[in-house]
Amino acid sequence: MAYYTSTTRSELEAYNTLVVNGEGYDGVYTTDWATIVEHPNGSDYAILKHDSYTAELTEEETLGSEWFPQNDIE
Amino acid sequence: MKKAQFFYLLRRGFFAGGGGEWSTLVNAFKTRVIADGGTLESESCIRDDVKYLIQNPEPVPTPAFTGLLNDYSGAAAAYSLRLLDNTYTGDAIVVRRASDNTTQAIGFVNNELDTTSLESFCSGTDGFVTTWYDQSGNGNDAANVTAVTQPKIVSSGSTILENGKAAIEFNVNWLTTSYPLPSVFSAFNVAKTNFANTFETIIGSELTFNDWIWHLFRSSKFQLRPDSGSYYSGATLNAQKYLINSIYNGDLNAYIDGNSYISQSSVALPSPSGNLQIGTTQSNVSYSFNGILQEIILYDSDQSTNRAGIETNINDHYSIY
Repeated sequence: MAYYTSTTRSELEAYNTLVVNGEGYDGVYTTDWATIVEHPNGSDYAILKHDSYTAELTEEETLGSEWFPQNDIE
Repeated sequence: MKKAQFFYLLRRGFFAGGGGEWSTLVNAFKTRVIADGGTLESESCIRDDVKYLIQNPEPVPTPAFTGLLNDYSGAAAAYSLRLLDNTYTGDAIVVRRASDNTTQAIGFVNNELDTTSLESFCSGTDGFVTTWYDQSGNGNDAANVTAVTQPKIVSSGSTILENGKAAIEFNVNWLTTSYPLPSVFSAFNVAKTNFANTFETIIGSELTFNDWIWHLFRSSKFQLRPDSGSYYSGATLNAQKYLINSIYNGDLNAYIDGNSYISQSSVALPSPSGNLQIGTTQSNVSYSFNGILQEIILYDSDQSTNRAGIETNINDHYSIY
């Protein structure tokens, strides 16, 4: 699954809106394409790329595990 | 027996004398003939009446349906793809189809998910669950408004099945409820994991690890975690469907397929404050479930005395063990 990344959250929110409008979600049972992922560093963001919609954003093939830290759980 | 012999015996009251089913049938037949203005002396009349009776049989009463929640009431939240309560008149799920993203509510037929309507709506495409309705009557529906994390129930036009029963497939997907987690509970889950992820949450808190007792598969075992630092577990499990019951009343017990799996006395539970999530905790993809779920029933009470009965009801339906 490819992701778009940015240091500007609003750019990814705009991408989400692009997909929502393009896909015609009903706005009741489905309101968003994907949730924006915030990097633990607090300054990087990512959103899952939809196969049918492109944007002038940095594309990553996948997100490293550092994006999804797990608590120190046995 | 020849027809003439039958009528002779009928006129002589042969069948009516001994009681039992024949007597009942013949007396009912006579009553119908007389009520229709016929006479037993007329063969043609009897023939017409027999024809009428065959074409208009008395309706056979259908045994009243009794659901799990009729027998074991008081659930706080109940999610299933079968009807659990004969007084519940709502739908089972709302489905979004991938082809055009329209949605449709799907109910029950013969107390099972209406897969005919489901597959008609999702013909040739995938279907995703946006809402899994709570059948307890408490309105604690489970939902997900984000497309990419909605679990799947139809794949290329076919209902996803597990052992012949409709199932919801989770793969980095989840549903969030409005149900505030209880401090005493009994939970019954029908789940099959693929052990594909490190942490496979069945049910957990929307907020933090320390908010409730986290139910998950981990390292080929089922675990109950009252916080991120401690857990209780049992024997190694397989990638197959299980009926998992957990009961917390100060002591913490878990049963898998009716057998004791975890038994721990005096387990501390912080005051829960979050809502129940199905398939993840904290909406975190790293803790999301990979497998299928068919039923989750949660009581905010100790159901130890009803446990065996509830498990039998579930197992009778899903044939788990």
